[in-house]
Amino acid sequence: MNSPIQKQPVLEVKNLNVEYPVNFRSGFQRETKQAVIDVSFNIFPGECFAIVGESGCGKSSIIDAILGFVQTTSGTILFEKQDLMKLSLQRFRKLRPKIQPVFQDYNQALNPRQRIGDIFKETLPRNLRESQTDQLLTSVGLSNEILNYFPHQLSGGQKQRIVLARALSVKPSLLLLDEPVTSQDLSVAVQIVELLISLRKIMPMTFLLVSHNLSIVQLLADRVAVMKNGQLLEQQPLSTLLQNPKHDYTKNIISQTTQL
Amino acid sequence: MFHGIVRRLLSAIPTLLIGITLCFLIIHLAPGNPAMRFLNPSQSAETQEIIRERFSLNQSLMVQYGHWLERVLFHFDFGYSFYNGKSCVAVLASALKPTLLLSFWALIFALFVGISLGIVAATKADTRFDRIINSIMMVFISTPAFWLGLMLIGLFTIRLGWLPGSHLHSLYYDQLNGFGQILDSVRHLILPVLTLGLPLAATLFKYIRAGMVDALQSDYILAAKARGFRQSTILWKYSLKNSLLPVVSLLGMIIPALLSGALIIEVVFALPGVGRAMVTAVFGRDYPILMAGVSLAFFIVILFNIIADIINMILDPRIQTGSGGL
Amino acid sequence: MKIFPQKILKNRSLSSGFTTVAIVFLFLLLGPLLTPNNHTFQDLSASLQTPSVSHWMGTDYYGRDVFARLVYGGRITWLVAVISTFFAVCIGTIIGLFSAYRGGWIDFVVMRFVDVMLAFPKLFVVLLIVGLGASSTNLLIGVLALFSWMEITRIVRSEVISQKNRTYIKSARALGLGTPRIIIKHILPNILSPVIVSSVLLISTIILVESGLSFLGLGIQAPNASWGSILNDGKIDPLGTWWLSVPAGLLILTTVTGFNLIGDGLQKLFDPRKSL
Repeated sequence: MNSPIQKQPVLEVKNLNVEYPVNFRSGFQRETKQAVIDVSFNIFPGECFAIVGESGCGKSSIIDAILGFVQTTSGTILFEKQDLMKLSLQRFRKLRPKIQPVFQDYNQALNPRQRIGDIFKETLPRNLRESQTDQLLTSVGLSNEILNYFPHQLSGGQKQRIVLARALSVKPSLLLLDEPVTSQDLSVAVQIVELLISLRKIMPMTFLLVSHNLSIVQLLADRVAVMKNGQLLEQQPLSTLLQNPKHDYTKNIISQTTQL
Repeated sequence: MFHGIVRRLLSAIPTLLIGITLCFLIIHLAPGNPAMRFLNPSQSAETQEIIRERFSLNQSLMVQYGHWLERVLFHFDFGYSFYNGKSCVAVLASALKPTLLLSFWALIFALFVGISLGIVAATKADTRFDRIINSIMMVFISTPAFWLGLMLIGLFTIRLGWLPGSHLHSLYYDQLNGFGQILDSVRHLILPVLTLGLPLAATLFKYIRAGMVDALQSDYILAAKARGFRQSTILWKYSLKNSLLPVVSLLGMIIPALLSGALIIEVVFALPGVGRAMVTAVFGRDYPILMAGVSLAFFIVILFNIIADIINMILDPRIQTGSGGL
Repeated sequence: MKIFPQKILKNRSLSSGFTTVAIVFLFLLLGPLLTPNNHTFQDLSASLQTPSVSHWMGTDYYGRDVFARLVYGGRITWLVAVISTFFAVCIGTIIGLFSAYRGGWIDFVVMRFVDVMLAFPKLFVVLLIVGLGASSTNLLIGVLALFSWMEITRIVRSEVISQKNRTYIKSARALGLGTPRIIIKHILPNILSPVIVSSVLLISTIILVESGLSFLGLGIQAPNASWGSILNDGKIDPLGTWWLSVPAGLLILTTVTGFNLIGDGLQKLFDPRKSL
């Protein structure tokens, strides 16, 4: 993997705090759960930055916060130097296509009543639609016939590729991958990982990869952060992390992963 | 839990206010001559002028609303009936008893029949018995109550002469002894209660049966069966409690339908209840009675919803979340 | 989602419901062909006749042919029910969609308002408004719709809330799609099933309410007929004038049963877990 060119960071997260209300008690006390505690990191163009941690450590909340689906308690998120929290709704919406999620749950990620072809009708301008659709489908390894199908007629791997193609169709600068391969069986997972690797070679892509599976991370990431209970324990380039883990927790994770 | 009850009561206040306001608006914005709202055309011009003053009919809607609100909330004064000049509150209070009697017994009947049949049907789910009962219940849900009443009267009163088809008491009621009086009342109530109660029973039946079928199929029950508990123990201890809980909330939603049904039944069986008073008032353009009646009905519904919610809170502590209902 | 024909045929509720409704529909459609009589023509010399060859279902107190009145009355009953339901569903769906998707205080206020409206016993208020106002069928339709939309809104709202947080909606938002587009093209098609079921059941309910009103003399007014108003004539002597009191009621019962069966059948078809 080439080392990323040092430019302005695509994404800067500073002191992010996210909490969720839990248990609506009568009266005025509200219990909150701190999902993300004082998290900071930067992602540079062209690199794949991964966050590793077990389920429930808060990594998905970071993605939700970046996408604007949850309220952040405090902290800043700068995307290409723009403070996402301070943008008006209009401008934020215009910015959205540049930050595309690929969610873990690919089964629910497609509108069950929408044909695949219609997805691209929504995201691509009319004049270039056909050619770009063909391009996208080829890049994810699918053929044209799939355009007429409904999601329930596709296999898991095909669905995940469509989700990826959809995300790519709006030309994002940053791709947020939330457990992209966890819900699949191994052979499909391998295919998707290979797809992601080849995509990175073809087009300049910046990834934020979130997973509890270190083996996947090993295949894709340039830099890795380890997360536990809402906090980032350490951030290192991949090789450094594997050879010189600072925390015991990291050592645990490393020792428990199987080599793919 | 005390907190919960207080919150529930407090949240009902804005609801009541909005409801009363809607009552006011409905009457005042309904098509028809607004000045007729409080003026009895049979009164002299002088009296009309006095009333105009008293109820500030010459002033703007907001002022009228303010006065009305004040009278209703602090004096319970809904005005006087055009028909007989009595205070609306008095008229409706005396009409309340038959309505409550009818509704109460219909509800008891429906609960008894609906729940017991529902449980039995659930235990025999998908058998011939179950299918037959389901069809019968389906028919009862689809029957117009007033028609059912007519048919019952036709059969039991006119044809067979077994039961009286109207009023709460016979003419010679006062001459009967205690036991005779009870019997007479019961005989008069049987048909109306059946008419109102059967469709309601059918609705309850559906819900109970569905709940029981789910409960009986749940893993918990399978485990209990495997451990050797008898069918009846399983039934009574677990399934029943779980199926009955939703009934309480269901009741809250059924009350408006119950009152509407009672209205028609009262007309069919000539029972001197609130419903019949409303119908008479509509034909007689007796606006004060109408306003009072709708407000009363609304109030009853809200009251029972509060009671149902509180019972729910007591029975199932999980429900005490902050978000309100009524 | 493909619905196989076998599923429909095997679904006994659905098939029996459709058959029932179809039969009544045909009766209403072809009725006028079976009798030359007009439903409003009064012939006082022929009042209260038992069914005969010239009057298949006899005549009423004004000498009007009951068979014709059953047919035309039925048409009006059905028409009122379908149109009211249509408006109620439109209003209810629109309000429910926006209230639920927007959430926040808008949703809170709307749902409070819905709760208040639901607390009024339908018959009480409809009675009032229709009774006091001009006796017009349009008013009746409007008022029926006005007090029925809330049930639809509740259902729509609960469905929208369950869809709102699904991944495909989140993805649609992330793509930058606008709110109207998301609501109409993504959420709406996925909540149609329960809305359809409720609409069918609403038709039955409104038929019952309208019949009740007409029975009290406040719904459909003379010279038009409605099944309920025919029963109003029949109430004076239910056994004696059985041709007035029995057929209309049976027609109501049959129609409502039919629609209820269809509703139940559709419910079983769309989502067997929620069916009663």
